[in-house]
Amino acid sequence: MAAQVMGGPLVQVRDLVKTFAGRGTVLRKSKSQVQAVAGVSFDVLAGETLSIVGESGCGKSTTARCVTRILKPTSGSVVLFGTEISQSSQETIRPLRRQFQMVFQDPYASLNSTMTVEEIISEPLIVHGFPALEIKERVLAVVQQMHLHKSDLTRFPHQFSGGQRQRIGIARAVVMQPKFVVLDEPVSALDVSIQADIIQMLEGLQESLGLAFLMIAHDLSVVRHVSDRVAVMYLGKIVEIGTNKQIYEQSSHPYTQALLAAAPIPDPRVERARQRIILKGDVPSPANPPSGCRFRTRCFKVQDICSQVEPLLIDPGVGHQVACHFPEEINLITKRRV
Amino acid sequence: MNSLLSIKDLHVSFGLGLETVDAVRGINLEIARGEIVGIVGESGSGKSASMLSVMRLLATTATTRGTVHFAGKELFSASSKEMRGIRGGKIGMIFQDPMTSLNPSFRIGSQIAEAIIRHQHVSTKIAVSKATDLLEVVSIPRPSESMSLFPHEMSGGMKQRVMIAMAIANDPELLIADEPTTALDVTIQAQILEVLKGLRETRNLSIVIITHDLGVVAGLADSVNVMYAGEIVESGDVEGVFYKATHPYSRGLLSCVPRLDIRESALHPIGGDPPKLSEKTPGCSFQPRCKNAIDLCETTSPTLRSSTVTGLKVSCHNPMEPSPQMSESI
Repeated sequence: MAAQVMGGPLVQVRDLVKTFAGRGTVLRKSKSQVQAVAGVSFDVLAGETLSIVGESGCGKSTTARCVTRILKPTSGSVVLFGTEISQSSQETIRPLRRQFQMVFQDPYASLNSTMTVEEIISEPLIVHGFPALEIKERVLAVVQQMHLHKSDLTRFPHQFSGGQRQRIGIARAVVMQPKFVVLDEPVSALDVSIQADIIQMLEGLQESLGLAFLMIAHDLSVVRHVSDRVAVMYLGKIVEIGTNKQIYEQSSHPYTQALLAAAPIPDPRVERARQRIILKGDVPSPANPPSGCRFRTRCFKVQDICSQVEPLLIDPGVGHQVACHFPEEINLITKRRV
Repeated sequence: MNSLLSIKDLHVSFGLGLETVDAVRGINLEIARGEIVGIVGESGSGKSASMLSVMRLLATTATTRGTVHFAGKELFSASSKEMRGIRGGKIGMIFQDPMTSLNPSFRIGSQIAEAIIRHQHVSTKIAVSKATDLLEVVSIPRPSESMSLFPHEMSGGMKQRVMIAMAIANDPELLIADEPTTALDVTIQAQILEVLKGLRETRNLSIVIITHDLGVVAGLADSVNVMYAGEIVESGDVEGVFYKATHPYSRGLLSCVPRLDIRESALHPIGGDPPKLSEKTPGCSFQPRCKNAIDLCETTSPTLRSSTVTGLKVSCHNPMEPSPQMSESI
């Protein structure tokens, strides 16, 4: 245990693959398969925030769900706190679940509407067999920490605003005092003035509890603000991974650069002077990904080799890695239009 | 003033059982020809309700007050028949969710052609050829083949392009875009914003863009209106609002969003929640969350006035000083 806190990875994911069966009919099973996650490797270190960004359908949420074993990976390895869990049964994983929790995107759908706030927050403690007195203490403490009121405990989810509900969802996750929390788009359903509130709260929790976060998000500005490291996914693969600075100021993959160039900045002069990269077309279907580099059909640097040879991420550890035949460092945020 | 759309003292309220929800509380708005006007605000601020009322598309539970002049014609007193000619004719509209705005059981080509036939009374053949041209305008690849696609065969970005094609099919003078890119991925959002910019340039189209994304407004709009609890609290040209805003809510909104280009150590949340629109308070509706509030704010509601300091219109008893940090970049 001590060794992990000293800096070994809490979470180690290697060659993670998740395949879903394609749509068939009742009588005829479909032969087509969709590879939502096509071989993804990364580590999450104690106390850090690693964010996975990418557009819809890139496999970022599926990755998160495989890591927390809401989904069973098709192949690959997921090691949490030194235990391999990718193919374990739910019974074996359950004791470990105390140490990792999840916060979901939609605070309207992720809270049971027939339970009071107290029931919602104390349920995980009951499941894990905590004594009644400790449950009461822990629930009260976490409620205060999340800036909720003691009187809120007897109320139901529909009596709260979206931001308050998300705080209840976070309280349910941190009441277990986990070491690792997966945040699946934790602020994207909230209004901007509320987002800042939740982000601050998460940052505070990370500091006071020493939590590690794996955050799934599509808002690149939010990700820049909260992340230590960032992984960019496209069509089931990580195309670039690195520290916050490496991704935002020294990105080398054309897709990362296009994403950064497309994300608007709320400053008219900066925004209108920026260089744009407008990508052609849409993301191809994951059921039928392009040969070679998966990004080549939309890439502005594409060459013959890109359709023949798949570029690989070399070291899946903690360095800056780019899966591209023609990587070139550009700071796309500050680059001005010529 | 040669304004295309002129909204005067618009009120919209919804009856909900015994409660009345005042969604829009007296807004004034002028939109010039060829101008792109942004309306920003959070959920429930009344930005969509105000524009839907202009189109007279609100549910029957809604009551509206005020006047709306479009190209000299008053819309609230127009007949239903006249309104049918204006909707999709002189005023086009696109919505947030392209997935639910298209009819799933008809090919997109026939849906666009239908809009053309309805307003221009041309033959099917002409309508189809016009529809194909429109797909070209909104940059849909292989327009003539794409005409026979069903909505489910297209991606979200492509569907939103179809919606835009339909909205501009009858050469409107005004396009109302209600969160047109919110449901889309950022690389697709960039494509759609390029399409909208292009339309203004080639057709001198006026556009009202409703959004919660300040970045979208910063890149697209000429002028910006910030809405809070059914009122416009600050308005002016885009640079003015972004660099010289003095209303505590506009400033709060601008400083609570993290920026892509700057890694700040701390965010500045506004705190509190927006007010319930069914509750009427005598004072300013932002007062309970406002750090700058004075006694007057509790009792008297401020009105939107031109500020001699900033040249913006602001509705506040005790506006903030223009931020030196923000004006530095000017």
